Amino acid sequence: MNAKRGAIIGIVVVCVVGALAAVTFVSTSPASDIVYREPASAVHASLGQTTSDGKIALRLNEVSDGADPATNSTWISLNREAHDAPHMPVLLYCCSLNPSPEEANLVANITVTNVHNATTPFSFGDVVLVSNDGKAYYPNYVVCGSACTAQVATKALNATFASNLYVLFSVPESMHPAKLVWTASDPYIVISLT
Amino acid sequence: MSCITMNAHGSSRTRRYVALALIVVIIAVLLFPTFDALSVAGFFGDKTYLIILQDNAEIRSTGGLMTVMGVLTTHDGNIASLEYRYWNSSQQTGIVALDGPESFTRFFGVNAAVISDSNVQYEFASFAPKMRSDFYNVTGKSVDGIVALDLTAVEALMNVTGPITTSDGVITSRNVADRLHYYAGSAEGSDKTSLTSLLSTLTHDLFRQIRDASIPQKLALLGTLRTLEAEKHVLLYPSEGFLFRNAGGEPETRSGDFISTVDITLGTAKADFDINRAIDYRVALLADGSAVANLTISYANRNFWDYDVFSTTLVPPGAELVAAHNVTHAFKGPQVTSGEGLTAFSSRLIVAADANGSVTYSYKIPNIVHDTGIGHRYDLTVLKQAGVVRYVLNVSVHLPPGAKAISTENVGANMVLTEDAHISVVYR
Repeated sequence: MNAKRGAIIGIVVVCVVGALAAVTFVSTSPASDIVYREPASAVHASLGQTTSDGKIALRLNEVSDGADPATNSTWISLNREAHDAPHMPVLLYCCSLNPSPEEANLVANITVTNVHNATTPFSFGDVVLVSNDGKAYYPNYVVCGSACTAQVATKALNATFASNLYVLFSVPESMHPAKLVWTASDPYIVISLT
Repeated sequence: MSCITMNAHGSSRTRRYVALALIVVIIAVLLFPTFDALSVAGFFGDKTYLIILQDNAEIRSTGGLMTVMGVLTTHDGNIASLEYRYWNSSQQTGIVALDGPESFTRFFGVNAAVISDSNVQYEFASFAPKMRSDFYNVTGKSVDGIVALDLTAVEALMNVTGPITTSDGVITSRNVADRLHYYAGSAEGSDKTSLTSLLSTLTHDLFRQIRDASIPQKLALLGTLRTLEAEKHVLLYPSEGFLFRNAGGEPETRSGDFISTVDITLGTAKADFDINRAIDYRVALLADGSAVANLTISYANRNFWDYDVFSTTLVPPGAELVAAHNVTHAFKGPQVTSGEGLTAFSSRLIVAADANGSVTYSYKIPNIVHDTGIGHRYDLTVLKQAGVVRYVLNVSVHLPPGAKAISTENVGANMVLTEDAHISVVYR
């Protein structure tokens, strides 16, 4: 009986140690960290410079922290404009730019222009923020003026579309943004923040 | 004394059996890669489930606004069929009767609701059997069980399984909640097909990732699910399988002194992730075993819009409300109602943007202390509402004159909690 009990205890110890090790291994490697791999054929641009793939022209004006009063104020006013405008999709207020502990909210101010003379597809989901250590972060939300909200929501920009978009990213507090990449173009458009 | 010893042995034997069963599962998971711990619970057999996505950014009694409902059928460990419907789609406008709780039906003067707004019961275990019946009556579809998960659960699961690539870009644990909110608000058509399509993609990919996950990932997922279950972000009905017992499918046990705050937001959109909740409880125990309590429920609204909430606090049966006051610029209440084994204090508050609001109830509680043989024992359970991510708890207990504490548990200030709390004081 003692030998049997000893064997059971031994198995328990091995299993618990193995399980704890496995869980610890997995929990220290968060699956949300994604490495950004830049294709060799990417087109490069600088902050404030307009670049186009022949259909959509982009200019990255700024990437700022949501805690910045000016950024916060713009975010709120555009939320209200989208919420209160008639004949618009019912966009609810979102989001208070209050980060969770150890997190930050960054807002990319991007000027988007349709240069194609025809309705052109565009999705804010194709914009990626890359950190200086090579991690990719994908957008949470977007707000823009009442004239642009419906078109961005339908992912189809009319021939005369030109507007500033404010794209929200949730990132770790320690993250330093280095690039903004538009992945819908071929080749990618990579805009450096430095 | 002998009765206490027998009970202790009985529960010890049960714990040994459960531990042995758990060991068997762990060994099987480690040794047999195709073994699926979740299958032990029977969840991947031939079953049909009602899947409810509760948006806990818009809190409701059972955890959140029932944004989307889906019917998922599993066969041989795979998804055989999956169909999601947006909450106000034409297929889900069925009206169902509300037979309670009285605190809600009386306050608002209603006895019916759209099925997607019918989760007004105090807890999931009370709501789920009715929902199964109502869903059948409205849609004609019979389900074996109900799985409700909120956005916090979706984030936590994706944190283990990793990102998912959709036709609209990459969805990660960081952006999934906001992206679902964006599609819910902006997608065209009353059926919000872009929202339901995204959810279908997420469900299929999550299911496949869970099934194909490595053993360490499966163990991590199991740990994550049990945490989510304990924190009431994943709710299962009926309760089955020892791995997920008490995942919301059984009624809450309320005994001794207890506080259960159940909130319903009223048209304030996706506000609850930026509401900081606090419970301040001061109780004075009297020599006759009764108590006088002072309970303050506080809301710090960090949103840039007002927060309108119908707040119900459940306390022991027989509690007598003596006074109530509030710190908000709009308040209606309090209303006092009784239910099985409880008294309910209900109020409606509007907390202004970037401001704090609160309601304080002062009340008497009869027969709340019991004798243990070596002294007197006071037990308090604070039940966290499903969907609420965290709350701050401050508890102080005043003993009768001349009494001295023998032991205390969790009596203190500024406790930040994600689960239920248990406080006890033994004194003589």
